[in-house]
Amino acid sequence: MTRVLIVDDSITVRALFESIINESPDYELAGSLENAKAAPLFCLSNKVDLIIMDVYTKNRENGLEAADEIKKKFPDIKIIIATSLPEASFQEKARKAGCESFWYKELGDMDLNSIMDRTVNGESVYPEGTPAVDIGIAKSVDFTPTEMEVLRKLCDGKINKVIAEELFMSENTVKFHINNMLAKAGYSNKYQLAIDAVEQKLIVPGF
Amino acid sequence: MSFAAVILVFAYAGMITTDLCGAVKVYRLRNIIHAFPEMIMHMILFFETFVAEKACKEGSLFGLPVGRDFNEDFSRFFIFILIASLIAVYDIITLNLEYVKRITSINPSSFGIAAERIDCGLLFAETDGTPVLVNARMRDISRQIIKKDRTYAANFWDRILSCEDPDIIKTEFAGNPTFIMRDGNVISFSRTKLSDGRKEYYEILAQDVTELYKHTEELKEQNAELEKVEERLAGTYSNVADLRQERELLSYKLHIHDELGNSVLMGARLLDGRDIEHTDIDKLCENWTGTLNNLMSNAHQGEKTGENIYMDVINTAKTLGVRLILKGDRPLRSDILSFALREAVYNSVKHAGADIVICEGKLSDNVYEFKISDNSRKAFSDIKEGGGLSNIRRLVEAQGGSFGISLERGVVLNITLPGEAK
Repeated sequence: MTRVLIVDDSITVRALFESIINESPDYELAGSLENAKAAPLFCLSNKVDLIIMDVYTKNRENGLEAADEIKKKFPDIKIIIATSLPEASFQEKARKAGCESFWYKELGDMDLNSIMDRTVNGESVYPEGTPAVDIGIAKSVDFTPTEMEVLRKLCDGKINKVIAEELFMSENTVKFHINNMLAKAGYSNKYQLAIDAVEQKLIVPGF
Repeated sequence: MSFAAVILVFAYAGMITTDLCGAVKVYRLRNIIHAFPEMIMHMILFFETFVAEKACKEGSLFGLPVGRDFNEDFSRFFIFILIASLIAVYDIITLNLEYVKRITSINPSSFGIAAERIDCGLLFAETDGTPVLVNARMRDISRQIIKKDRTYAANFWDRILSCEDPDIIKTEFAGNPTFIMRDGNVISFSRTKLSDGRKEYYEILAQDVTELYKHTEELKEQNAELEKVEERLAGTYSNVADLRQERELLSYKLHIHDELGNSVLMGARLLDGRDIEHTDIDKLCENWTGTLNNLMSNAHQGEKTGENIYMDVINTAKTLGVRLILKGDRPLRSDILSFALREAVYNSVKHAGADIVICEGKLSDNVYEFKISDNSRKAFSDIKEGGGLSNIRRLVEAQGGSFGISLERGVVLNITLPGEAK
């Protein structure tokens, strides 16, 4: 029996996941938490085989950071990152942390069972690409990876000079990328771009 | 003119030139008077050469017979000519060396030279206003602002500050009085009191800060714009979590709704007597149980009020195997206290191996005092404030409270928070 820990700040989501697990003959509920930071502590004194981890949990506690910590201390625990945010960097961060699978909660079918089965069986299940969201008249997938990096720094409130230093490029290159994004999105200034990216949850500042 | 006379004339001309250059270049024009005796002597010798030659040609000098020919006695004069030439060359070389020495080493005139060369107006004066050193740039600036080259320091500073010229804009830059001049340049004044141990002096600087001022003004404008954007972004950020949660909730509510619908349809068919053979009763009951459970949990989802906020922490603690006990006074709803309790539970599990965390609160003079401790037996000699504890400190102090850690019988967090507004 695979013992499953659920980490999600929504009581409804947790209840739904709990009922799915309880109805399954192969899974047993190990625990249910609303804070990501509590997950590594829970694993210290409880047997856990699989974790369904939300990214953005209560008090802005980061599920990816918690997953990274758990993977370092308990490499045998399998982790499925579950999120409804189309944030561009989450999949890469999840892979980097060593998470086995990644699941967009609201997109595609609500087949948590099959994700869990495949993960427990040793498969790594990641979606192809991130969901596209509208940024102005463009789709988020129209932006290049470098443009996304510049956009992320912009949404963190950094000025061009600091962005250039942190991304090891010249200020003119930063301006070039911003102008490209503005042209694609049909915006006249970078603040509109940043606001839209955050409102659409393409970028979650601080994550 | 004879060859010897020509040589002598050139030699004396060289000496006179050297005297003049030395006076101007090395010793400054005001010291030219020191060069006069030597220069006059050399000028006499210069003209004397012409007179001597003429006398030789005419055979008499002022009526006195002269029997010498410059060229005939060239060999006698040669040594004298050689010495004179060498003196001239020596003068030229030493003068240049003196000049180089003066500009490359510190000497009494160095400071004056340096003062003239710096890129700002400079004035040193005694505290009663007597100027000690003023450079040309300061005099020029003074003329532009107060229309006078009066650089008496005590009066000068006040006169600068009370400038009433309508064409000059008075402002402040980096805490210093600053003037935007007619030509667009921005001059910033600063005054410092210096002491050499015995006496005090004023040092007044007038610096051209045009570029810096321009960039600062541009930055101020950009900052003002950014502040507006920040406000808007802050509003957006604070909504992100709520919007996301609402959207997720809606999505799952729709799912529950669909499940409920399916369960009702199946139940209705069963009751109607249709599809009895094909209906898995157990599965139907399971579906209904699951749907009802989801509906029940959905009913509890909602805004946390009052004790619920602390119940969440208590439940989290319970899941981690910790019993969280709340005693005494506490605000009806405090996100900060809730955050602090959560961090205390985490730290107790992670570092102290405790299984009971107690929070004792007391309200006195509209100030809450909390003591959060655990039942750990582990002794700590020092605590480093990591991310969690420093976040508590930041949140508490932002509210006007205080945060401290004591190591009496384990780790105790001491928090004060202002009471609720009346």
